Amino acid sequence: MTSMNRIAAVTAALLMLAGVMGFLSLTGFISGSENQDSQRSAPVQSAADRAVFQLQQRLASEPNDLAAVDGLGSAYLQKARESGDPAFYTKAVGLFDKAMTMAPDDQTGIIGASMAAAARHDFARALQLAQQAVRLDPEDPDAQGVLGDALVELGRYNEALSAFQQMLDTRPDLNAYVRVAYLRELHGDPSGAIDVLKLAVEATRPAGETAAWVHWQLGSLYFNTNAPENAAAEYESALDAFPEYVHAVAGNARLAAARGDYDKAIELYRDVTARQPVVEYVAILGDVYRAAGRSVEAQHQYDLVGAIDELYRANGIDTDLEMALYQADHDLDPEMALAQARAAYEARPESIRAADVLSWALYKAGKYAEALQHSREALRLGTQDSLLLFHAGMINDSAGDHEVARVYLSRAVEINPGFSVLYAAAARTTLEALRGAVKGQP
Amino acid sequence: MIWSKRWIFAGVVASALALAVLALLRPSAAEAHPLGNFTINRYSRLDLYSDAVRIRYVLDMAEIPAFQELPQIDTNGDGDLSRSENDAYLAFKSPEIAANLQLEIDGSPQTLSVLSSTVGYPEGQAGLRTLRLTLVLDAPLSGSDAQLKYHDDNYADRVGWKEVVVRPADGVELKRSSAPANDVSAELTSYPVDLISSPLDVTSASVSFSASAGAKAPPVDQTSEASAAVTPNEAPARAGGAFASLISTRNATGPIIVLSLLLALGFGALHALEPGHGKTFVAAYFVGVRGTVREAVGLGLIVAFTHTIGVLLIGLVTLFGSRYRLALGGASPLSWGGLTASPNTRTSTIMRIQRMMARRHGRASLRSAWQTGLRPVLPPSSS
Repeated sequence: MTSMNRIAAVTAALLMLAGVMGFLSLTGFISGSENQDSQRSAPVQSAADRAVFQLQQRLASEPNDLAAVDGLGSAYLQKARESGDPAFYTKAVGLFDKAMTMAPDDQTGIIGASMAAAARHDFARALQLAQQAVRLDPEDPDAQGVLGDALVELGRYNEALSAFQQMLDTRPDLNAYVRVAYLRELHGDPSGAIDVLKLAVEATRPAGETAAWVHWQLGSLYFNTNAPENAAAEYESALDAFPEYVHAVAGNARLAAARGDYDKAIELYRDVTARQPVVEYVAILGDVYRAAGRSVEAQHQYDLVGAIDELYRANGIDTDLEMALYQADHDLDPEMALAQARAAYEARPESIRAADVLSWALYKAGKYAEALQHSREALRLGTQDSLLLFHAGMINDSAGDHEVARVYLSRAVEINPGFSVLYAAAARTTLEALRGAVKGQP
Repeated sequence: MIWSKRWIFAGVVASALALAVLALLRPSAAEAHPLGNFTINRYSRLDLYSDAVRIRYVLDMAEIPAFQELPQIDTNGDGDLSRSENDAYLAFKSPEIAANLQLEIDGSPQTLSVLSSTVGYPEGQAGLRTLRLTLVLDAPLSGSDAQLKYHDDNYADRVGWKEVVVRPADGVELKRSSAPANDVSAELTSYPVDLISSPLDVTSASVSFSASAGAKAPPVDQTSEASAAVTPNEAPARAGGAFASLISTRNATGPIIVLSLLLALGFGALHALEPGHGKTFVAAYFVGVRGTVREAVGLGLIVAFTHTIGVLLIGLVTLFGSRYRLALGGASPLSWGGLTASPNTRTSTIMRIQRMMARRHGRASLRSAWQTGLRPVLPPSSS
């Protein structure tokens, strides 16, 4: 080997060595920076965690990188869904606001802000932002998606349908399919909704929290259509995809309560409410305690609902609809429940959910004629939902139309006999009474 | 491969934004959370003395878990938390917490004894109470050099701020510590609210220290008083791995720069060993023309130069393109991972430039377009 070649060979070897050492230090085999490693944020687990970590580092050095601001806001939204920690919503909102200040027509920022507004139940603002996004880029499927979502919540179903149709036409992926499924369910075709979701799962093969979410939705549809084994299977799939997924655990708890296994339901709901103490789950735990005869513990849960509601208000989250229903169901103060239901209805007069809650609050306050009117509004899409039909049945019964009441109640019990811990038994006894009354007539 | 580093970042942004798409799934009623009000936050400060390890443990329950905990404390249900009720609560809660703390010195697990415990109820939002529980625990130490491992297993499945701090007393020499010596949260009294950091999530520490010349552990009262004057919290240190810290400008002293350049050279050399870099062609070429080492070095330098210019040009084009709210590297960031281009995706400036270059240089990529000046003309790269 000539001396030049030897020098070249040695240089090459040294450079390779340097490269290998650099690589090893990067992967952390050579320590000496454990301090910084441990002081880093959350250990890397999911795709969202990785994205959060990398984008945080990016923003630390480039605070005005718009793409990174948007990206981190979106990653925070996903973290909020995965971890249940609502602090991530605040951070996301802050970042999207920053993005919109930096670039008023930044599509991603506007869409993200719309999603965050919807999560706080400020649907008017969600709609306004969504409309802005659609104006900026009418062909963006995500803009159509958030537009449709806001329209659905406000009860403008036909407009939502065309928004979702456009979303589907532009990009037929999982996000579009889940919206199609939701609309089918609202319009009284839960088996169609199930078909669409199953198709979507097969076609797109989601993973992680997304897969868990879709399986949870499927589980709910199966539960609502009296197919508990299928529901249980879906919840298992959800837990496989995202271990201890809190909504799947809640789904299993609801199955247990529906078959009368209150101890199991309590055990599972306690886990759920420890990790995600939202009104819906805490209230159901209270109801299960009450059904199991444990009234002191039930009262603790109901007190907690009150505390959570105070916190929602303190943080500017609009909970009128949920709290009105809760108040009406728990007979605390029918007049106050009615006032809240009216306020919620004013904000979204075309929403069938708002109409249903208002009709129920009116029923509990003894105003049957008005309740009947709103009950009809709530049923106008033909939704096949046991709770909705139960409300309609009871309202018609009290308003004097027993035949119609019997039809609605028998439908409710048929679609899902275990539809409510509070009301399933009441539905059956009222129905029996009505059938008996019919037989007794000459 | 010019695109590789930019694509990695673009990939990260694209996947983060794809996550936004995932998050577009239908929001349910369960999404309206009280903000931050159901966290359970944990803090451990390990004070290292010559004869003991003292652990100051703080548990901060936000409004909702505090509310859920109250029935266990307010045993007579009168809404008032009396001294005896608090004492009874501490009597069962302290051992429960201590049992979930693992301290190992030189590999052997230590028993922690609770020296003091207090509980308080600072007011939170909406007039609700939060719960603040403080424990001081102790494990005796003998011998001088020690390896310490600590882990906090309390409320492992609850979200919240989790912090571990290790502080050597006067005269104790800290050789290595995975935990910092200074608080970020001032013992859970002030949480940073900046948008670009996640809550701290540290539940363990690994420390190597020498305590022979250190001060002895004071009696408990002094400890509490001393720790009441907590050092003001500093902003969280920039998170950065070993490599990133080398290239951050704050550390850019002369030797570091030289080392960085050498490492970059080394990386480049390793990188060139990957498939698709024309190794075989170059080797065949040099064998064929019986090239000298000098010519090979010259070729290497030309390639390095053209690569660098190419990267800088891409950076400028991207910067230019991004002013027009266009994505990095082409398709809309919200399409699935940036990969699927639906028929209606609008064409970005960058894609137009790409097409322009491709038309001008045949089916060659941008990279091989720069190489056409070399002899012999190399076929388009496979990358």
